[in-house]
Amino acid sequence: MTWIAAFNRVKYELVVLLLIFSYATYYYLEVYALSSRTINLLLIGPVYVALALSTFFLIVLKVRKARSETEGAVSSDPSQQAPEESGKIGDSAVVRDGLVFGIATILYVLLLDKVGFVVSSFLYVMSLIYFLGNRSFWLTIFLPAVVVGFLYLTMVVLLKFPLPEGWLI
Amino acid sequence: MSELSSLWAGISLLADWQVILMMVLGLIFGIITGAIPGFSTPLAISVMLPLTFGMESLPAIVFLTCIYAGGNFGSSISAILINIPGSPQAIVTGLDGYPMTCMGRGNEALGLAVAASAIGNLIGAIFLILIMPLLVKFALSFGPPELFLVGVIGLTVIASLHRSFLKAAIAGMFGVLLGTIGMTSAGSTRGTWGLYELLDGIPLIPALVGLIGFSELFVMLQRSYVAGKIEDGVAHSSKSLSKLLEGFRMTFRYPITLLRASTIGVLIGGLPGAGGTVASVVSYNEGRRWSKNASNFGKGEPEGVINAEAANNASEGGALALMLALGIPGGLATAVLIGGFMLQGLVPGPRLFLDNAPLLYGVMTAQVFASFMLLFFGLLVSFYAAKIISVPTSILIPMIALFSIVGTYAVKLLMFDIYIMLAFAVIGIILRKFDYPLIAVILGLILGPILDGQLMRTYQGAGELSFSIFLNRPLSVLLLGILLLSLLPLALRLGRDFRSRGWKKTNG
Repeated sequence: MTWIAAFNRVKYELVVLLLIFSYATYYYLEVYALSSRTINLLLIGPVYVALALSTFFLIVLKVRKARSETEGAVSSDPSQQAPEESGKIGDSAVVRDGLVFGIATILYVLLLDKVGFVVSSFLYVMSLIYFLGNRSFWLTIFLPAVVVGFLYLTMVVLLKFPLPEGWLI
Repeated sequence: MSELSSLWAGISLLADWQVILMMVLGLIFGIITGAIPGFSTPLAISVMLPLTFGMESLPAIVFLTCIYAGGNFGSSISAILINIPGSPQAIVTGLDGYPMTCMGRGNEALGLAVAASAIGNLIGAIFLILIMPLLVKFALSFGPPELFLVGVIGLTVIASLHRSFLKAAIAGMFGVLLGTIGMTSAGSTRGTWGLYELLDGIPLIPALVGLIGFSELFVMLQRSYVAGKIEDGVAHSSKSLSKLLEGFRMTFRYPITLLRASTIGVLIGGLPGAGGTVASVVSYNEGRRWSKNASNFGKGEPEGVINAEAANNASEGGALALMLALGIPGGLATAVLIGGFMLQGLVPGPRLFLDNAPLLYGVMTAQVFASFMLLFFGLLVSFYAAKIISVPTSILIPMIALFSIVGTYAVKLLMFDIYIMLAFAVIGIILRKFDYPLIAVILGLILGPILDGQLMRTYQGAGELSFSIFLNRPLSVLLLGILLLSLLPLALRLGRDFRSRGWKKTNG
């Protein structure tokens, strides 16, 4: 049972390690399948082997450490809950802000070349400032307008850089 | 003589209002952002990096190196005022700077930091100008085996980046694998997933901005203020110009300390991966060993601030010499600076010095002028520092996000680069969350193509790959020796860890 509890404590950390290792394996196999395998694997081959060994040792160390901590926690106070594992995301407010920031950024990037730089950037900055807790007119409307205007003038007018244009500007 | 004429040509290139303007803007931006904890110097450079794309080479590179110089000093402001260093290299500055603030001598400490930083920077810049031609001549005798070994030496730095060697190694090797994506010199296409945009490899700048800059924003979200609000008393006292100038003048009473700290900074800055933090730690320890007031160190000793600041700013000269002559980033900031050079179509390394000597001398001489400018702008920004540090993250985050996205797009005017930047931001967030050193991934990304390319050339040149290729070349043998020496501390550390764990195990 302690092994299962130990794995449970470090499950997110193991997922990250396995993701890195899975990508490395996929990449190695892709290169291995190339016709000029020898020259292409000169560096990638040893690096992949070293990464595989490091991943294996880190998993062993993590699980062993988690197991000894679990045993320690059980022996010292059986009623005590296992401490939060290291991969747990923070409190709900941070998660909410992170989600808002992430979704707003993805929407902005998707709309940037469809709506146009000025309008989408203004909406992006304005919405972020608003959702991150600012309610004053100067901060939510005026500041984004000034910053976006400054960027537009600097990039497009001064540096002659074509920023994305869409239906609007 | 040719070096003198190149130096003169470089100096004359600086007589341009655009270059001078970029120096001033870079310094101010570097100092201001450096003063904001979390807004590290590499982040400041990476945010501004894409904006330099439309500029001429000299103003662009001078702008970025001045951000570097300004950031090195700026990070000491918050370390002194609120004991939160803007960047890791200012950690040691806070050891004596913050106690000075607690004693009501914060402005003196800021004045000391300004003068020590400027002098350290000046000595570093002079070293850079004097040593570069020698370093380049040495570097030009390097063939593919030697360049491969230099890359490996650079990679060994990864081992010292984190308390967990395995995590640093995994992050570094992950970076190396990512760095080898794209079309090789042998004509093979690797890991592009059919995307033609990746044929040239992963675009470095979007990757850097995403990995360092954008992922940092998610960390900032957890705080209302990057540094917490500064107490009115401190803010008020920081406006005392006379105290600021008193500290400034006091620095010059310690010429030996300044010289010793700057020399240590330059030498350590020239080692791959060591950087300003290691330089300031070593200099602080040496300073304490030689000081008459050794017992006051850590309690608000002005000499402690000078030791730390002169060293971490002088390290910039050594790090730039290493980067310009050999193309090896000494730390994260120089890694991002390499991106700045590449953006201008310049690849740091021995060839750069031969092909663009006046430009490089212009960049190096600009550092000398920047040192003098730092005296003025350092004092000016220190004067208003308290207001800058208390910018709420709810304003700061949207602004940095906008600049990062627009800047990334501006590099090649490709939306694909923004997608890459976001993908690396996700990787950065995950790696940060699980405590993997991001600099290891960056070093891997930069050194991966170098290692891969040089190893392929070594193989193609010899028709095989064996260890004897390296043993038959004197320079390679020398580099192998350096490699072994740089691995020695790691071996000792791992051995010590193993022994202590084994001892604990056998002793229950």
